[in-house]
Amino acid sequence: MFLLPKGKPLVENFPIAKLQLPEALDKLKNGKLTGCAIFDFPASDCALIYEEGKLISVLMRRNKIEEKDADALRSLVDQMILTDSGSFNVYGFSKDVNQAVLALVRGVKVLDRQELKLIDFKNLRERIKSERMTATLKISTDQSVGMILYRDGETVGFFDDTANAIESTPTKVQQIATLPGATVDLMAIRGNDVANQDLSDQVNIRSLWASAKGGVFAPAEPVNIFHPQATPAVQAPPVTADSAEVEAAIIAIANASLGKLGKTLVDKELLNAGGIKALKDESKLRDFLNAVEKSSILLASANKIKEMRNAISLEVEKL
Amino acid sequence: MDFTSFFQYLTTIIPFLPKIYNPVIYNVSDLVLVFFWFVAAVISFYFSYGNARLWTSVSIGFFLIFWGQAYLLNPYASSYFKVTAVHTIIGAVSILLISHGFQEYFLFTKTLDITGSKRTIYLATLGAILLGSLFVYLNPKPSLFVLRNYRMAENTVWLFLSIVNIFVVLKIHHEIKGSPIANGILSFVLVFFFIVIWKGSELYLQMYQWDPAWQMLVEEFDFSIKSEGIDGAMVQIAKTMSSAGAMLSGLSVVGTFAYLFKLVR
Repeated sequence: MFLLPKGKPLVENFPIAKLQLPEALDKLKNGKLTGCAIFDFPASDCALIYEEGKLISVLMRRNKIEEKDADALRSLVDQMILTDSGSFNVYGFSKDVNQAVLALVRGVKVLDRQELKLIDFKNLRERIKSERMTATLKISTDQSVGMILYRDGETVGFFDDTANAIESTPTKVQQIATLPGATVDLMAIRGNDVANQDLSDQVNIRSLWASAKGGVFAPAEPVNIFHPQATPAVQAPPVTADSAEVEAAIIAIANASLGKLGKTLVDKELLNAGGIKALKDESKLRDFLNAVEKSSILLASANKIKEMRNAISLEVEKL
Repeated sequence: MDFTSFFQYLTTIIPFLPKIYNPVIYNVSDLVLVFFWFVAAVISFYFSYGNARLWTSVSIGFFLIFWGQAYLLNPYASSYFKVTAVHTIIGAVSILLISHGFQEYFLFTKTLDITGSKRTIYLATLGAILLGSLFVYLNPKPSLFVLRNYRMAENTVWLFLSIVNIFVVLKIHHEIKGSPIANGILSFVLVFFFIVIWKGSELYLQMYQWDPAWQMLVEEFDFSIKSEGIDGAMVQIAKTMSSAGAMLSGLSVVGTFAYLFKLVR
């Protein structure tokens, strides 16, 4: 099982058997989650890292084999179909901690199980600071694991296997570091190498889910899970969605950004625009977005409105 | 704090200002209060810049409160009765504007329409102040008694509209619950609560003739009238509530707009 830091618990120990994957992932996306979702199966685990609703990383670990991103998502669907036990947890993080957790999940191993007593620890910390590393420093013994989380070289939190939340003091981690046989791992990410990707745009989970649900053991139709831009060699048709689904998604986005008036506002402006299908017309879409933005100014910040506008535009593209 | 020499110096460089004969002494708390309202006015104006017009109403309202508070510190306030009367009217216009802003916000939550221009707000404010000035101009020069009546009317308007505003803000909050700005709007309940305390206790003192303005008139005109109960604990409590309410309302406006800034950043 992954040991990932625990942040603000949003969902805890939800039975995977009751989970509809596409709906669950839509909720995390529309809820603009910054944090991680963990699927804990009996023989495998999958961690999804979100940043403001964007699915930026997926890691599936099964029998010491790791799969990442699209492959991991495909394995996740398989696992969910094949297994009817396990639990689902979602934790929210601050953006800084989230980046450090991302480093833990998919960072480059700068140090790999180095014995702590052989390391100049002070020098290591200075290196993290001077190189402005976004990283997680993991200190492990046979019994305990502690973590120090860094964002741009600054410490943003501490965590250990007995904690229920990110801590602001290093007491417990320091204790672990003094135990005999303690080793150090340092995982770091450089720049925003994955910050701009949104795997949920690249992988059509709904199709994968529907296909897998249709017959696990039946010879399934091959599903093109990537958009054309992800695999330019295979020109798969763009994913289209039912207009009711798009409308529901737009309302969910507006609700997540503006609160309960979001739905009323979208309903009203859709009526003015002539319905969801009218948004295929670029000028009508522009007018719709401008009208929504104009009223949103009394409900949310400019940044939030911009994010909402972009998210709605992406949804409309699916029409 | 003694500002007598400062104003005496002013009269030497601005010749048309009347000479200062009496000492000009301010309480530090009065100066702090005016400073808070100044900060509130600046911050609310900045907030309204580029925003919907209802914030223009609210920000002009808070600016006029600052203006009215600052005017009362001016040692000539008691020399120009007509100007003082106009400033009392400006005080009433300020709460009308703030209330108008929140009524528009409530309407927005129901219709989701933002209509009207900011210019209308500026012109309507100017028009209301000019009308008030005309009213004062057309009537005899107000006496100290009349000025006190003006002040009572102003406090009544403030008290009534602040209570109404508390309910309007609660209604707005109910409608916009879940939006990023909702808690910022809810903070205005605290602002209006402190204003109710401030203006309500001031009005209470005026109604029973326990206010300093009435006591000054009794002394000046040698009425030999003693307001019954003036030495009671209630009077002291009301006076404390009035000054604490004034200070806390200024502070809470600054805090509320700072919080709103944080929310809409």
